[in-house]
Amino acid sequence: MKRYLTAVDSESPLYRSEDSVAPPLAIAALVIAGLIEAIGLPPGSVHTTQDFSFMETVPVGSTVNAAAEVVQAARRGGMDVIVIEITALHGEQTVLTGRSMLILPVAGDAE
Amino acid sequence: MNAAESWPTGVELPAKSRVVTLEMLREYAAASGDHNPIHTDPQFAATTPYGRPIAHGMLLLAYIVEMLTTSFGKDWITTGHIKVRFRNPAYVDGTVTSWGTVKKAEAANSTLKLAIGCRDEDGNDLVTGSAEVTLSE
Repeated sequence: MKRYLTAVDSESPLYRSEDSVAPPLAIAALVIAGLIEAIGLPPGSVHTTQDFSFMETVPVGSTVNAAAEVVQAARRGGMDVIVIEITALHGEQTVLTGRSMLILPVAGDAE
Repeated sequence: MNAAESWPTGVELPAKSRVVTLEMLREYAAASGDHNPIHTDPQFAATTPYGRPIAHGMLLLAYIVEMLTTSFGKDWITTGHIKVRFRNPAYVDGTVTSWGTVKKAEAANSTLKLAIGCRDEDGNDLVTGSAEVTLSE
């Protein structure tokens, strides 16, 4: 968490006190990165839209379970587009939900 | 007074500017697990339409979320909703300024609706969107 807070230049005391909580976007970033790695998205993919709702805090040191899935994959205007949705739970409590659209590089754009 | 009424329409959240360096992008990649080389490898980025490294979208979003967390504290991380569109890339060594403006305060449910985003040093919109937060007493 400390590394994430430094990387995003966060100074919020919510994340740095003795009973600190995890930044919700850090959880979302890890879940999305895990999904992207799992499905093997090509390098050069970029986000175009994102949507997140935060519902509950997660104490640092807690275990969070997450689900992530590709809910849409399509070709639009010559570009491959996917939409992913994520949900993270702390125990039975949903702590965040999110949705992200990514554009994948067209073959030959990169590499 | 309802908590939302203390945030009248037009109030601006404290903006913050940051110069995004390649080192910062590599640090974010290590912290977030997003190792897409378009953000961290100048040689790879040169082969893409962008031509040089660009910031992670979720890093730009984190700057906006940090601004909202600073303004609304725990209310933001327990009731916040944010929706954004990434409009332009933030190039390495460019300046990114996050901003937010209260668009509507709903006294009935103590909810604020805001316009949020971030811009580059030339005033180009990098990210634009909306956010909503319900304030406790």
